[in-house]
Amino acid sequence: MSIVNAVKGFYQILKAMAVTLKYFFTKPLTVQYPKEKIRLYPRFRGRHELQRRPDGLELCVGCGLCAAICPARAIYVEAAENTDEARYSATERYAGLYEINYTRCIFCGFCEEACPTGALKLGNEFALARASRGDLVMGKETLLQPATPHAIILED
Amino acid sequence: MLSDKAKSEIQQLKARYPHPNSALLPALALAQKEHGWLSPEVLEEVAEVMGLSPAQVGSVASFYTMFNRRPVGKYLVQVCTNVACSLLGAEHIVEHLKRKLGINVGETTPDGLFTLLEVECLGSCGTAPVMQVNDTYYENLTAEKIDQILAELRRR
Amino acid sequence: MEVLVNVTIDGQQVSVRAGTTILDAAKQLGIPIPTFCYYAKLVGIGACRMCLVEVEKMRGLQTACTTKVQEGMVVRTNTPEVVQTRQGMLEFLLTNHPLDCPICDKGGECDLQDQVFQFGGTVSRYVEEKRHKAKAKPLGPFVMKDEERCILCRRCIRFLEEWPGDPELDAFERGRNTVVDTFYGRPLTSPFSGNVIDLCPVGALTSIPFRFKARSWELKRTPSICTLCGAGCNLTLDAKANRLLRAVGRENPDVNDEWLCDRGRFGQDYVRSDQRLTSPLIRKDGQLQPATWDEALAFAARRIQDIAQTANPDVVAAVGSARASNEANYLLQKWARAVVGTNNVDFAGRPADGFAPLSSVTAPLRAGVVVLLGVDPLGDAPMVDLWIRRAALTKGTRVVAIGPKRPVVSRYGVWLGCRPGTESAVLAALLHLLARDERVQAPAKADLAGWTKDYAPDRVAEATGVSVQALKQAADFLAAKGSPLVLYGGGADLSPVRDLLALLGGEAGYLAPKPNAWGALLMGVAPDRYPGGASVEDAKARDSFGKQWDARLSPRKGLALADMLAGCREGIVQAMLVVESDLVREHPAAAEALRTLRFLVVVDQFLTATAELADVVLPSAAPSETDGTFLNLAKRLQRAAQATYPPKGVRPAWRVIADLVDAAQGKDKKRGAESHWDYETAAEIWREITRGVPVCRECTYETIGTAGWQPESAAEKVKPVPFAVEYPVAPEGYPLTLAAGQALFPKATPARYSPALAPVLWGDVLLVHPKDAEGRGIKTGDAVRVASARGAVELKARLTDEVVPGCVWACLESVAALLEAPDKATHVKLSRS
Repeated sequence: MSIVNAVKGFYQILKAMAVTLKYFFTKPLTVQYPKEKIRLYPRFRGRHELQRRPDGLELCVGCGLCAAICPARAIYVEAAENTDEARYSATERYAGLYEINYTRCIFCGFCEEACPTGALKLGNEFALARASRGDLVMGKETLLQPATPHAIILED
Repeated sequence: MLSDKAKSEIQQLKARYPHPNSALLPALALAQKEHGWLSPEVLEEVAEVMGLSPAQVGSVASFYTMFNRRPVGKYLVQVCTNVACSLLGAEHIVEHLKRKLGINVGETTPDGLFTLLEVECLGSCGTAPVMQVNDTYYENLTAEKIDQILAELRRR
Repeated sequence: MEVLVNVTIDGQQVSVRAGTTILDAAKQLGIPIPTFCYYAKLVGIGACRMCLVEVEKMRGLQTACTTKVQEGMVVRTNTPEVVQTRQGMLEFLLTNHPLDCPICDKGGECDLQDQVFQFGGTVSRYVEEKRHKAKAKPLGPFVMKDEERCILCRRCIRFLEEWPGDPELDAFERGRNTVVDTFYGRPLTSPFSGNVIDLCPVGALTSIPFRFKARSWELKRTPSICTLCGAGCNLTLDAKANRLLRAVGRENPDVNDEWLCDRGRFGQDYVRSDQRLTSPLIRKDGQLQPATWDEALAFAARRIQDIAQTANPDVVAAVGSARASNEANYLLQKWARAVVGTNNVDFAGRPADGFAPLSSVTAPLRAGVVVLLGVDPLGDAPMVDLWIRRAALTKGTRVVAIGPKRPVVSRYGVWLGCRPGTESAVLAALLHLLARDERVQAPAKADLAGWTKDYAPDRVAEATGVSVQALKQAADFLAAKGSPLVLYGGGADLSPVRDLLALLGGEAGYLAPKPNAWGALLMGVAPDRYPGGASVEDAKARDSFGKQWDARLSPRKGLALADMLAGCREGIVQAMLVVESDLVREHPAAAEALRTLRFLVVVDQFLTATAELADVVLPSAAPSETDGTFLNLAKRLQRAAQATYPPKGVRPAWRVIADLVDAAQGKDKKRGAESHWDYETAAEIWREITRGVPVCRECTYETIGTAGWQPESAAEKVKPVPFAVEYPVAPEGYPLTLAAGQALFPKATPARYSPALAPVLWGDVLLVHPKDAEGRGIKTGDAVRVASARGAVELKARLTDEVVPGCVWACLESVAALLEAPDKATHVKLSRS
């Protein structure tokens, strides 16, 4: 019995080593980030990007529907009124304060679907690590900047 | 503004109806006859005599197109452009008047004599085309007839 | 006799009163019929066609809101035709509706959204360009109009017509161009204009102060009451992120139905004022400087203790407030009596002996004639004003206004314009006429005919400046309609009022301008009374409260407010604790008296004129930031609930007083098991109050609830009393008389700190009759100097015939320093400055 077991065991080891050897000669899956770029599909949901109209005005009107739908309560919006001197969006109302808390956000994309003006897009930016929690609450200034992720965007 | 005579006439009108508010239309007509048009000041005075608010009086005055809420010329020329008159060339009548008076529809001549308006059916389809100058009907109109009428009105 | 008719709605039978509409009958069966223009408290007009139903044997569909039920009527509310028609109506409404819900403040609480969601179709067939009208057009400082969103239901128009009787809005133009507007775009001036915002079923009329502040679903909604006047209107306080953003009316048929005045609706934001005190202040080197709570409390407690010990407890006085809650007032008097050991407790605006509360805020509805004895309800209690207007419009109630300033509601009756201080004489002349009127039947008639023989109309007219004709008309109203409701203010002489009631029945009540005058009195903030009303000289009550408070209580009556202030100068009063009362702006003697004090502690939300004189100022929370109960002008007990937390560094007034006691007892005794001052919540104080105050015994925060609680009160039988009227005599050099009152938007604390009310606040304005202005060369807008024997102030003149010749009128807070006594007309001279 013991000899049979020993042979069987040896066979198992060979089998396992074969797998190891096989991957030794294949191209590795791991990416040498940040030396190398990461490959992402375009619908990958990363950091939010607030969109602008072609004329530069913000699309967001501060309706707060994104905040209402957010299951993680990560979004806080306070609206304000445009004036002739200071105009941010095309209608009467704009988002005076727009904050997303990335310690809470689960990147579900509900907010993007709730947005009536198409102002909110979950971009491909994934590198969100920050040195302090406070920095993870991002305001309008940050969110309005389109991000250039360190990635190669694949075909959909 | 409103003469004492007009005021007392309005008071009498009020007594004629089961509900004194019903006297508002004749009261406004009276005021228009006296002033030519219903200025905000006149409307307010009517309101005071009628015991109504200016808004209530203004609402009625703005509902009926025959109350003028802008100054009109000495002669208010209203040309019917409804079906019967149009079929018999009301457009040409209007064009002719525009040329002759040198004004567009809705305008008043610089000398303050004529105001030109297009109106709906004047109720005299049998004698189309028709125009009404102040309270007088001019029927079966032709370009020559209009020249005559205008000349005569100018002479007066 | 009520006639009942039987109707069948959707197969269910119901018998209802004849004259009921189909809509109301369906409501009784619990069958919902969608509506837009219909509003239960407004006359139905059937404008929107949303409520169309099928009625057997009637051609076409009928509007359920205007069609009255008939015997044997068979109604169907859910046939395919009805459903399709509803969808069609909604599609029509939406063709010209901009659908800008994301930016519309009504979004989330919009009738149109809800109805389309519930009853509408799924797609619109209208692809053409929509009609365009004016957007964001302000109608005055409070209401913003968006004409595109309007669906022409006319609710706003009808409200202003049917409730306040200020028909300032109406529909202009016609057809698709119809817009609801004011006359040539003038601002809305009705004191109740804000209600159209609540009424608007879409976002056509929205609130300017609340504009874009929050979405409706983000708001934390707290049922509470308004504390800006004595009516105590029920409202809901809406807050987002601990900021109080708006107030909306809450239904309570016994108080405000569901309406609010513009002061109450828009004035609540004073709590967000940037002038709020957020740190205790201590006077150092003549300047008030920020300090910590521990420092301020210890300092205040030690100083008061020192002063009480070196002299005697009676040199300390406590001033409560008709603005503060029952809980704060109770603790204040408990502090004075149990900790300091004095009965020197009082507050400004304490109802005088014999004063009675109104039977209800809605009392005008039950009156034949409303007699305003020197008061203007629009300033003192705007909701009472609204009820007077409603009564006049729906029941033909008349108004007899007696006083130097013409109230707006006198348009529903007669204004007996008399010189200030002669109101009682005018009332006496009315009694003279009524006692001789054959329509009046009362046993008191003979007595009164005798007592009033010196007050024949022509004689009184001469002495008071009122016209004989107006007197006769007023007497005629009273004789014809009977059951008067007499509303009086602080300085009223009640004897002739009692006589009027003896003649005609009806009721009389004190129009308390502050939210808690009756409450402060009930809580024992009076020099001679314990909580509940027992006298301080009553040994039994003293023992009982002494046991409850674990203290020896003083058997001597304390000083009333006027005596306290008078005693300040003579050192009879040396230290004072003032809680949420701006005495300097309310009481003539205060400014001078408080300066002479050795030590003054003021607890308030703002650095008021009174707080500026203090040695220690302790910031307190507003009623919306803590729990508390208030007793309104009808002695209705209501809860002002906590809607937000107080700002950092601010404590509720009741906690400030409790902390002051803790500070006095020292750190080691603090929070000891034996302390009677360990209150965690206001509810605990209330529980203690109910033990000592019999009327409230059964009452807890839960039973008061959101609707309030009205103790039963038996109507008193009035006995006629003889009276004598004194005519004020003008001293040499002071030819005019100054009357002071309250405006709708007064510059009084706390309304003066409201950002939303800032544009409409009644400035330092003096109303002058053109006749008096003429000789002095005064024009509207001129700076004028009013001087009495006590001092002078500078105000801006406004010429108006709202006041009688010989009288000038100003808001109390502008001229308090000039008056001889609060509520007393004072002789003054006037000149251009």
